[in-house]
Amino acid sequence: MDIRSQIAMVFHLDKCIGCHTCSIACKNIWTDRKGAEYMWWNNVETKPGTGYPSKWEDQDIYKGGWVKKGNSVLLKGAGKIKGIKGLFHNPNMPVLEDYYEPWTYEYENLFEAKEGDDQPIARPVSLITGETITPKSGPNWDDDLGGSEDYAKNDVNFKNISPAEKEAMFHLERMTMHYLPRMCNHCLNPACVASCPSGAIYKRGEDGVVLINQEKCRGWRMCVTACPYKKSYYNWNTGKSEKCVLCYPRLEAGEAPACHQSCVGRIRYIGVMLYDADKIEAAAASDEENLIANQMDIYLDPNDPEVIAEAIKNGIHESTIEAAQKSPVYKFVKEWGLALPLHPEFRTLPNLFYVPPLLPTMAFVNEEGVYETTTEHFWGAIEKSRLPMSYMASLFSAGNEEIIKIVLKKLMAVRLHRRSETVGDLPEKETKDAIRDAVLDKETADEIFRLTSLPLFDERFVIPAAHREEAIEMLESASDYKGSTGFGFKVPPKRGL
Amino acid sequence: MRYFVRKFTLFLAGILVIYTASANEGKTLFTNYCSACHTVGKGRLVGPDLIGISENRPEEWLISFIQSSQSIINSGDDLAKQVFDDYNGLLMPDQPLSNDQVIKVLDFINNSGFNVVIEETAITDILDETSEENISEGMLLFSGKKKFANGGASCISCHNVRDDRIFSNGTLAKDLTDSYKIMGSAGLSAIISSPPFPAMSATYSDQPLTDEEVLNLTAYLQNVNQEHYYHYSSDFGVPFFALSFMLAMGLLFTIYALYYERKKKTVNKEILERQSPVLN
Repeated sequence: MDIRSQIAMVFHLDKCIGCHTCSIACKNIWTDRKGAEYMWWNNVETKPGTGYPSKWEDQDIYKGGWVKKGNSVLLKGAGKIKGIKGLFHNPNMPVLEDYYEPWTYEYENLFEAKEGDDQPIARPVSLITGETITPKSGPNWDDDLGGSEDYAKNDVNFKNISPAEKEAMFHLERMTMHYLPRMCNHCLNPACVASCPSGAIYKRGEDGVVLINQEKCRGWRMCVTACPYKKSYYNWNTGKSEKCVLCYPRLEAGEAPACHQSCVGRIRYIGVMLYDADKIEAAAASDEENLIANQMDIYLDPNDPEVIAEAIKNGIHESTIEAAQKSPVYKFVKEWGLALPLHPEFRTLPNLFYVPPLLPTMAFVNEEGVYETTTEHFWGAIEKSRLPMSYMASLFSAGNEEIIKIVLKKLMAVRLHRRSETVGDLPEKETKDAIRDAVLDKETADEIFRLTSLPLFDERFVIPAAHREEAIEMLESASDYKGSTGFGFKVPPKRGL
Repeated sequence: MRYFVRKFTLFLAGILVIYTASANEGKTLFTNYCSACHTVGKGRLVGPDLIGISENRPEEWLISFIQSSQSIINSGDDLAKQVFDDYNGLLMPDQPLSNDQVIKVLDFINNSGFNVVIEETAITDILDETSEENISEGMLLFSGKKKFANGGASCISCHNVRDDRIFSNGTLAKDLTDSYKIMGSAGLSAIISSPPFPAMSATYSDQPLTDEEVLNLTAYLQNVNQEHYYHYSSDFGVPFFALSFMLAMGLLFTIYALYYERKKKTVNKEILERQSPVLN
């Protein structure tokens, strides 16, 4: 056993209202710079939709992630021979138009234009060339199913859906959507780290945050290809690649990342998970149907005395273990089994988990054309979900519909239980049956409800102390460091010691 | 200044002419100006044998040709062009002779016939007496390692010879490696001392070469021509070109083949192209 700690996240999709506040918070802090304008380390996509960059999920195009080979995994788009073959042109990267050409508006013109017959206007100007452009796409151009003929219909997750089924989905009154906020998953088996020829990308030992060393990066852009989530971006101004840093300066100060803190729907949870690093390779190389089960197996119970002993032996601080015991992520992912990784078939073992949305399941148009929200045949509703089960399975379970159904049943059971508690219009027997079928008990259902709907700030964000002092002590006296922080010279002075 | 020098030169020439005219003026002029390249009845030298020239060519044409062969060739005269081509494209230097003087020379040529014996200068090779020393001196002068007495530009500034002993790279004017073969020592020394080419004559009109220098240069050029002081031919010919072409194409093809698989277009190409442009 090689126990390590990892900062992990849960996004509760039923609560996401698609307001993009997370994206803006991130942009304001990190990517509002020259060369980074087109980057959205955090973005929110509408599903069905092609996302950002367009069709990022289609690894036949972008060649990201891993492929299983024997008992191990190989990078799909990078590697020694493939790397040399594409050394000078890196063949499978998104082009700028797959993201979008970033633009601003000539606002000065509104104030400085000479007096004339016409109202002055602020024309759109490219942030790359500086010339006036006509914006033709943006990072969320297909928001709320806009242009669905072009975007939603080309969703990569429809690959296994029959044309008739797809056609039916797009009927006006059946149509549905949900939001999918995405950011770096800080994977356990990160393809970007493995692909970097300069060794510039690393996974932090203390909390598993994946970072790019800007001094070592030489702009090969192998990580851009290798990351199946396309969350590593090339900065054309600095000539280096950048990615989400999980606001590590905030984490070290005990604050939640900006995207988490600013979330309006409070959909985001962050916490520590203890995991067994020895099991990573086997889990990444497991068969598709076992991928999720084997990944769940990696994460260990922080209340197990054996695990605690091993963790302390491995240098994990007690405060981290305590945080792991309170982790909302552990509850959602392991205890309740409600949250699933996005596209586990990319085999990177992502540490961002999603509670699938129940909303498209709950209501549907019945045979009489009535918008049905009753709870009759409550399991039937899941089968008749407006988003086909195979679509959800393609997103969150590598095609395994059973896993999705189990999660949705649990979510539904919690709702039925709470409805009977608060409204009391449901027969008690039915509610009991529902909870039984979903393999839950009342207490757990109440707990799930609490953490979903009424969590306190500190329950959503359980961030362990960073213990920076331990890292600093390895290099210099912690008190010297404290006293001299913020002082110093860019160029060492000639006098003095 | 140049105007003054020219005037002065003419003045000196005038004195010379007056001085010689009293004796056999035509003969003296021929010896001074023509005999380096021409004979009368002794066969071709650098230029043609001039025997019976007045019967073959009109006098007026002769006068203008002797005074400036270049201008008459440039005017498109067929006869002059043919002479020019027959003699390896070698220009006859312009002669500073007046119409009267030319007529006197022509008279001399017509009257001399077979009987007149021209002094030996006409057929003696000036290089008979030269030694290794002249040649190495000539090399130094040619390559510019030694300055000309009157300060003229060294030959290498414009000319090139294939000689591995000197770093020669003038490319403005002709390659002189085979100049001796074409012109012979008499022709070379005549051209070097009074060049018929506009650029060259302008260069050296104010800074003429001394007789010694002319001799040394001629000796050097003969030496270069005869001894072949180079080891390789700088012209690799068609095979070299063909091979490099094939190599370059091969390289280009390889690069193209590697580049071919690259994702160059956006996945939304069709969508973006369909959108109608907005006028800015």
